[in-house]
Amino acid sequence: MTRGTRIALIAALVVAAVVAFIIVNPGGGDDNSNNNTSSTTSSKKTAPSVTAIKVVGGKPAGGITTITVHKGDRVRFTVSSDVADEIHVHGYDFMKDVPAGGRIRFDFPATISGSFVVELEGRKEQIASLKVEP
Amino acid sequence: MTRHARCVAGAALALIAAGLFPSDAGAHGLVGRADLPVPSWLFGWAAAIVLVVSFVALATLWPKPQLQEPVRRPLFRVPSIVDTLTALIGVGLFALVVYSGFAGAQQATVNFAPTFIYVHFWVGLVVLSVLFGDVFRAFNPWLAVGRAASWTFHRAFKGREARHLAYPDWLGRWPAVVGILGFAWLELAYVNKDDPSRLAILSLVYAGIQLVGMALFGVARWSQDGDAFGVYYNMLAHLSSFERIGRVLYARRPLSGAPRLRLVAGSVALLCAAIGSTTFDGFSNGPVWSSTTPHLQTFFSDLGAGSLNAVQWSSTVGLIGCVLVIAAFYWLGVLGIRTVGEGHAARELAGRFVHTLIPITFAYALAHYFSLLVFQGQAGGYLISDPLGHGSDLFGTADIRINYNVVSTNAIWYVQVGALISGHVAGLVLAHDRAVSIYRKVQDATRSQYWMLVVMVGFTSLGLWLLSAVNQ
Repeated sequence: MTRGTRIALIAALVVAAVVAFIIVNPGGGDDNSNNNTSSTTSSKKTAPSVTAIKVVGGKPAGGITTITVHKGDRVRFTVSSDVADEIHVHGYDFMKDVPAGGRIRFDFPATISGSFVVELEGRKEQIASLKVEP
Repeated sequence: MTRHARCVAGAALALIAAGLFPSDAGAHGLVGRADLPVPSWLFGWAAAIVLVVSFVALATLWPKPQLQEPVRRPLFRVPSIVDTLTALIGVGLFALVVYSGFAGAQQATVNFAPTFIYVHFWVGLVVLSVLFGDVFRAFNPWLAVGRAASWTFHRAFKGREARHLAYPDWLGRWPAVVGILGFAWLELAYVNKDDPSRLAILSLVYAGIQLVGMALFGVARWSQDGDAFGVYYNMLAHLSSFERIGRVLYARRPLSGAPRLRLVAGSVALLCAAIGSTTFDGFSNGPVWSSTTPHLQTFFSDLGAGSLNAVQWSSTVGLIGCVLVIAAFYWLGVLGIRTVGEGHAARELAGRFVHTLIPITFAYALAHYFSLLVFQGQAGGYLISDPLGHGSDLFGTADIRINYNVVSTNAIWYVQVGALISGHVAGLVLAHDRAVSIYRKVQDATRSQYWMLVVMVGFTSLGLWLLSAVNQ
């Protein structure tokens, strides 16, 4: 490799580093604002209010609900169902029976980060997705 | 073309055979916890590092190949009792998988078979192979049975040589390609993938096919290219710093193993199948797939498939599509390299650079399955004490529970991104070293590497995108 190409490559490297920095920096800014918005939404969802999930005909009404909290927060949600089944929070492995036409309540600390499925165990139907951010 | 036609026909037959299984049970995930997507700040940093590393790789060219000749030093002789012991353990574990699959509780999470097959065997051995060399060869149960049968044959018919068919050159690693695609299909598309008794049947069928292959072509010849798992783990073991030749264990220079991958038919397809199936695993959790798959499912339902079958066929299409996209991208890079000096044929170049995909394969596998291994891998602790799920406690470990806090989410992200970046660097190093050994002029080698850079940046970006798109 000639000296010229070597210099050209190193110049390209510097340009790449600068471009990368520019790309990353606003990315970092975006991320901060994302963090803020997500923390506000999660605090909206968790601290005072309780997410209500409704099951109609063995399916989640209005699709799969996403519950987002941060590790250490409390996870609070209720499931009201027109069919009898067992509600299973995967990973945390909490199970509760819900009678037909009944309503049950979950309230536990978010000790494990990750993404977890909440499902009607008997029907293998996912009703919610619990996301615990670190 | 006929070779391709044969492969397509084989794949079609395998799919039809699989379609014969009734599909009544719903898919139930083994795993309780899924990964959160890589956050955007880390994604940005990873992309930047990849870019910088790539340019550094181009700027610090070494003009003479460094890795093409083996540099190794002997460590110690492996006593033959070790081989006997590992073979017995391998056969014992295989027997335990089959027995618990048939006799155990037919629920994926409490039966030993599904977790052992999908986590300890399929993911654990990938990591062990890269760290310690071809570990699976020592534990391989069907190889052990084949060797024992061949030993017995020699004792029984003293002086008579067993007659074997010649293994055809065109067949190469194609049986392994079919096997790896078949396993990927089982894991990612088949609706009854977690059903213990079906896994037991399939394990027996697979072992049976291996024994037939060994009987036809000879134990050593068939295991070298035909046994899908043996070939796959051996390929990954090329990345290891340890190598066993005969009875002696050697240590070798890092990355000096991969250039010694034998070039036989089907090698490109094998690596593309491995990368493509991991790609589909990531892709199928993402938003693009979840918005496409309902249309595919409707299409198959309209053709008369039941709803579960429609899901299965739609995933099959996705899996094959991902493998084809990976293969097409690699071939695009190869066609680019072909335009550079000296007039090498595309087929020849595809083979000579294919070992650069081994680190990419490992990076994809580690990035996607690391958390599965560290979390679901712990389930082995209680499953070994209660393999049937009937409440026994053989070793007093039945009460172990999975600790999801052994590794933090941040650590998982760093491992995922670190794996992809390291794979990228290793791929570039291997590609450059091969290029300077192929081309007489350094300029040609450099120009050929612009194309490999495109290939590697492409695979690494795809890997990062898959991690960030998951579950969004």
